[in-house]
Amino acid sequence: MAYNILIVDDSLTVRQVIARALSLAGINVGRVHQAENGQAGLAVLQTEWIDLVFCDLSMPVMDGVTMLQHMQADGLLNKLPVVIVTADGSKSKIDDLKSMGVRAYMRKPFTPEQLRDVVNQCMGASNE
Amino acid sequence: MSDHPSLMESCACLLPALLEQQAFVFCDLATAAAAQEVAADEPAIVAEVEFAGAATRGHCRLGAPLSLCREIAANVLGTDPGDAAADQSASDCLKEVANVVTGHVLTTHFGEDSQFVIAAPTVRTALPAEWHAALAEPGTEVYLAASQPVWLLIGFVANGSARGGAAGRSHDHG
Repeated sequence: MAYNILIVDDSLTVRQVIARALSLAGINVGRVHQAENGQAGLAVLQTEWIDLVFCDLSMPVMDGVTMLQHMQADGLLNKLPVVIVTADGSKSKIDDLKSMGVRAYMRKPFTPEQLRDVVNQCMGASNE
Repeated sequence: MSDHPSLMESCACLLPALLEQQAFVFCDLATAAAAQEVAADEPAIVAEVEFAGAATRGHCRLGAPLSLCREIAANVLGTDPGDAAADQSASDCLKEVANVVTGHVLTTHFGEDSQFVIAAPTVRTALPAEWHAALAEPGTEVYLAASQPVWLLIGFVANGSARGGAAGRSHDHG
């Protein structure tokens, strides 16, 4: 099964790095959508079928936590797996995010292998 | 007195390790004099990240010459040196490196139980005279990467104090 992915990050570099890592990890990817903030990410979610979201925390216009809150309040989006991609290593912040329904957390920098493990953890499938 | 390692101890190995992981660029600690000797007459990019915790706030400033930033971007994006996309991403890429360095410095220095709000990085261009002088500023850690200078300045102050530039002035929990 090919996964449709949404990458939400204000940094074009990070979006490109995640997209490239998905390819290097050998993950079966359908379409990769990109958004530069939470508001733009929510707009993509309203119009496209997405299987997995990678999301930054600190972004202008709408940050990752606010985007998650909107998703949690939406009956169609609140089960969608979200992976937070951040440099922040605070345990309490990660616990807070998991209580908001975040499926996994990936700390930057990461390897394609770590990305593959996270995708497998979220999607319950083997991409090897 | 803090039980934490000194800020310099926290940072000394972090930047080389993170640059190697992120961009396959190897760098080593250097003296300001050694860095100034090889400092080219070209602009530099300076990225800055502000952060704030319950008791501490501060900033992380990371700088590198433009040509090195382009090389870092090419490596991060997996393109060839001189690639137009990498050249355009040089600033964005240094911002991202600064963001990652800040997150790791805070965890290493204050522990995983601390919590900070890390602002979105900002970036600006520095002319040669400015950044050559910055290499010798107190509290600045200087490195050499691909025979070019990279400099890192991290400042902490306790909340309620005036902002200070020198690193390690306050080490309480965020």
